[in-house]
Amino acid sequence: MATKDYKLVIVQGIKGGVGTTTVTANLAVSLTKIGYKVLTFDGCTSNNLQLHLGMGVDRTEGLHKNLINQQPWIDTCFEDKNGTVFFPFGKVANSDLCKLNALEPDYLINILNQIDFESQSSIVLVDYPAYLSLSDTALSLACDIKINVSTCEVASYSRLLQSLDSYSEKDMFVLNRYNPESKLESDIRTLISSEFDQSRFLGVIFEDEFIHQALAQNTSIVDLNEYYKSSKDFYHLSMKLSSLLFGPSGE
Amino acid sequence: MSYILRFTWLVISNYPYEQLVKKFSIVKSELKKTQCSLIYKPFIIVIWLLNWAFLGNKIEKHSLSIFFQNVCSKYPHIRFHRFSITDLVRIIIQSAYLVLFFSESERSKRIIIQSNNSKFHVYKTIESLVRKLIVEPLRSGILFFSKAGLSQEQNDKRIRFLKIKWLRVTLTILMLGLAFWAIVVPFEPINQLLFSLILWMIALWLRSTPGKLATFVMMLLSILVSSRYIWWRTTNSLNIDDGLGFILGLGLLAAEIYTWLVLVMGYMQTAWPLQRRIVQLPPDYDNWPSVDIYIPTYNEPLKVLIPTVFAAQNIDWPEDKLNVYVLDDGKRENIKNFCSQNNINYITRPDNSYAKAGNLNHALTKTHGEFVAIFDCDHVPVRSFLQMTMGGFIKNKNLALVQTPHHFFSPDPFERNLHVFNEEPNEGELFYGQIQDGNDLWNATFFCGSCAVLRRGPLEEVGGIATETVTEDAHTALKLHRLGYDSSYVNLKQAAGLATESISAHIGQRIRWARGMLQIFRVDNPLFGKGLSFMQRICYSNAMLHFFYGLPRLVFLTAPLTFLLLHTYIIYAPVETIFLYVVPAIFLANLTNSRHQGKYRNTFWAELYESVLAWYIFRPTLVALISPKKGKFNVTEKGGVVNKDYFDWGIGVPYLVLILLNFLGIAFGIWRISFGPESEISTIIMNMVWTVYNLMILGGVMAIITESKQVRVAHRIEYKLPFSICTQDGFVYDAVMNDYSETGIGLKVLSEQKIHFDLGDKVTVVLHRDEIVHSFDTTVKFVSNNTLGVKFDDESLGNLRMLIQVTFSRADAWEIHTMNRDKEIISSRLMSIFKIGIKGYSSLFFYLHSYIKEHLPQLYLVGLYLASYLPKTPRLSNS
Repeated sequence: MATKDYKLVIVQGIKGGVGTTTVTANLAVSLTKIGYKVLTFDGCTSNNLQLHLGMGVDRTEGLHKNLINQQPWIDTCFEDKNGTVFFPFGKVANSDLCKLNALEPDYLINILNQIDFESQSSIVLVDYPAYLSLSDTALSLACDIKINVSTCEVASYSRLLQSLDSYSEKDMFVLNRYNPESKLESDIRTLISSEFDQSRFLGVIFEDEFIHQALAQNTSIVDLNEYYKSSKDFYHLSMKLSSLLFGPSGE
Repeated sequence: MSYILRFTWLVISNYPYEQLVKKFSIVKSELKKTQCSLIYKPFIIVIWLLNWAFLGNKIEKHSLSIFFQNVCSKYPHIRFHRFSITDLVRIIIQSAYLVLFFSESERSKRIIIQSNNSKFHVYKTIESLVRKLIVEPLRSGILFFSKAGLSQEQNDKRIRFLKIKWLRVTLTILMLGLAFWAIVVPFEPINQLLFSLILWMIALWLRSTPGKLATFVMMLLSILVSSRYIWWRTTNSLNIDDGLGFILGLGLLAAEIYTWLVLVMGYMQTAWPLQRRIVQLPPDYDNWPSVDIYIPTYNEPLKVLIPTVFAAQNIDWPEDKLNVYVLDDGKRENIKNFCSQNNINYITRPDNSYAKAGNLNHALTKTHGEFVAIFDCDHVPVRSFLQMTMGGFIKNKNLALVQTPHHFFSPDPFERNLHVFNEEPNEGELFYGQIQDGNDLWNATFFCGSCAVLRRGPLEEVGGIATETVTEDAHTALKLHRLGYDSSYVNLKQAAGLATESISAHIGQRIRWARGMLQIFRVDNPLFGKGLSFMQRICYSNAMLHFFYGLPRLVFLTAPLTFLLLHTYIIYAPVETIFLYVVPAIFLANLTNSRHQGKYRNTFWAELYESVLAWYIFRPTLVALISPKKGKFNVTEKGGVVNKDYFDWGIGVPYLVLILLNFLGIAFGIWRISFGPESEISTIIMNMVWTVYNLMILGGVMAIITESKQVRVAHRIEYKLPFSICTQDGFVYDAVMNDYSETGIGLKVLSEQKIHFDLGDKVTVVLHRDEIVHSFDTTVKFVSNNTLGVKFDDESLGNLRMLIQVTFSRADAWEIHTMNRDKEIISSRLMSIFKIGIKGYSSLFFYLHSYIKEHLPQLYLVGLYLASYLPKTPRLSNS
């Protein structure tokens, strides 16, 4: 634990349904494509991350499923075609969800400690569910950057204002599903961006049909076509992230 | 005998007549295919048979119809399907022309030249080889040595050396004495030739040597040679014996002295363009002063005013310290309503006395800001305007005026009619790029009426904007300078406006400027009166003197005619001597100006600009010089359209007369070369060369006054900006803007594959400027591959305001148009002037042609008939 040879980035939605998983998946793929070793954990019970990374709906294996069933977690490690390593959540029956609480609180950190990271430029991305509080966990202490995903909706803005005081230096913000055609969203975007320092804004992702199409094709937008506006936005995002993690010369 | 008969019979009876008939029918059908007139047919057959007989196998493969096509292509203007006797004449003329000038070998040569055009560059390669091997190493060697000799210590020593006053004075006197001696000493022709050649070579070498010192030396050489010329002209070349020649010669000499004076004063004025840096504002907003923005308007339509007002409100400045005022002298209800709806202060006044100056002065009494920024109602400022200009005011309390350049996003009449918009520097570039920057060194920046900031205190001290003349701006600056206030020039395009829409409007505007400047010259002459430094006097005088160019220009355009038509010697000297004096003077002046101001104005183009105005400007300037009180303020019209191309006959008439006179002069010259005394031939040729040059300039004038179509109400502004577009289906694409206007955007969708758009598709354009993001609903109006033209659906004021915020208001909106221009090649520039001249004559011919067609149809038909006899260039046939 003394020498942590990976960078931990937690992605959490400011509320549910803002597209955290999409952002995580695309970030993971774009970071891989620009040359980092990326390890991704799906922390959401909905088990959707695997869909972005080329794993079919019919696959049920997953980290949490194995943890509940007391099976070795290493069996649930997968790699997509770009070399992004990921642990899907696994299909856990509703009746078993309560068993998750029985897991020891720092199970993720423990797993990470058991992994031998070869490269210094390894990034661990965790798709953390919005409904779980992150504060006080060992994860929050270990993480280097926390990306808060928000939308330009009124509900998101109010959540943002409520938790304004709790944000620390590590908190970064990404606006997802921005729809420029809506006057209200433009205004809220202006409001949100005036609330924070510009340097804490990683970027804005547009509401883009291509992202939905990418999911329909069981892949990420970055993989689908590098020339789309949204792919470029994700690349921008990952460039910014990498410069934050490794310093400006980290590239 | 019977044997012969029998043999003949055998031959006749055994001959394959079917074949003959077949051949005959083929020829007949071929002949029918040609569709030519019955009378030509026998000729065609005869020629074909002759051809066949002489060339035999060579043309065997050509059938009659193809042969006929070839013939037709050589006689393109003859209609073979109908016979006429006149056509016979045409055929004869054309045949003679073809035989004499356009043989078959010529034709094949032409085809070869067309296909192998790129192979003829041997000369250029040799030239570049010589350049590379000899000239360049030499130059770099010299540069190396001159740099090596200049260490910091030596430099300091040199400066200390120059600080000794008596030494400086002695050196100056010595230099002036030597210069005077060099100007007045008479030379034998051969010495003058050597002298000129040496100076010429020095100048050519200096021209490609970087650094300001080289420019200075070139200026000095130019002054030296032209002073020598003027001295020689005054002392040696006046025709005292001939009364008429003496008077006309004096006129020419006066014009030449004027040109010399403007040249020398121009060198002084622009010797060292200051290129002032921007002064930073204090970080604390509380120390930023309050600014009133005045937008005076009189009769301009509301749509011209709106972008300016919105952009003025967008200027980045503390909100409580920025007030925008629309000063409406037209007392128009719609403007008042617009202002009240959009939170803008609207000021009007009971009378319209003193036009724009009075309007501004009235507003001065109604507002209270510490500073006043003035924008003409079509000048759209960018958001950084005040931040770029106000720093100097805070640093220097004595500063009263900061001026920025006037930039135009629509083509001015010159650019539009010569089709050089954004390709060549425009007319204003020289003034705002160099002259104002040069003035700034001498603390003599002129106020130009718009895009400027003035300090209220000094402005009130001089009694507000000056009202005595019709160029209130320059006069106000003069008054401020007289009181010892400072001025500065920030050479950053921080606003852009509409150029004058037609050449006649342009002339009107220039007449006003000229009149106003000469009024100042009379009423408040900068040469006299107190308060000005020597160089300020020079700068102002040169600005005023510049507007006298009308008469001298006309003198130059007609001077050779005095010899060709009137047979008087206005320069009383041998041609060779004239050449030895005048050619180096002209050459060095052009070389120096090409190096010094080539970035801002093409060599020779000043003559085009001045010639267009010469006739119209010389009368008002004379009137203003004699009685300065006359003349009223006229408002320059802007934002109009020109519905179709037309030739401005009203403006053209005096120039048509000049052209006619010059052609007459050429004709006289030719006649006199043929029949006149032999001793005069060289003089005639010199005058004819001059006349041809004048004719080319006049041709350029013709090209300029041919008004090109201008139907765009909203001008497209080129700007590269990445942004995104969303289709109606929710797909988002990256795009790059090509141009924008108030009504639409030209863009290119960035994608490696072709993306399908239909006309009429709805697209949302998302533009942003830092954190400000605006989206606009648009309709696709043009599609070509991934390049789209879209038009805004909603042209409401709110939308326009947003658009201006992310386009017109961008701090770099106008600064991206920096043209990277290579060193001028003077000979090719001369060629381009000739090309423009020829273009002018062809358009003159075209409009004369349509004029005659419309008004004198009989004359037109006669001309057409006569022209049909002229030989024509053959078409290139397939074979």
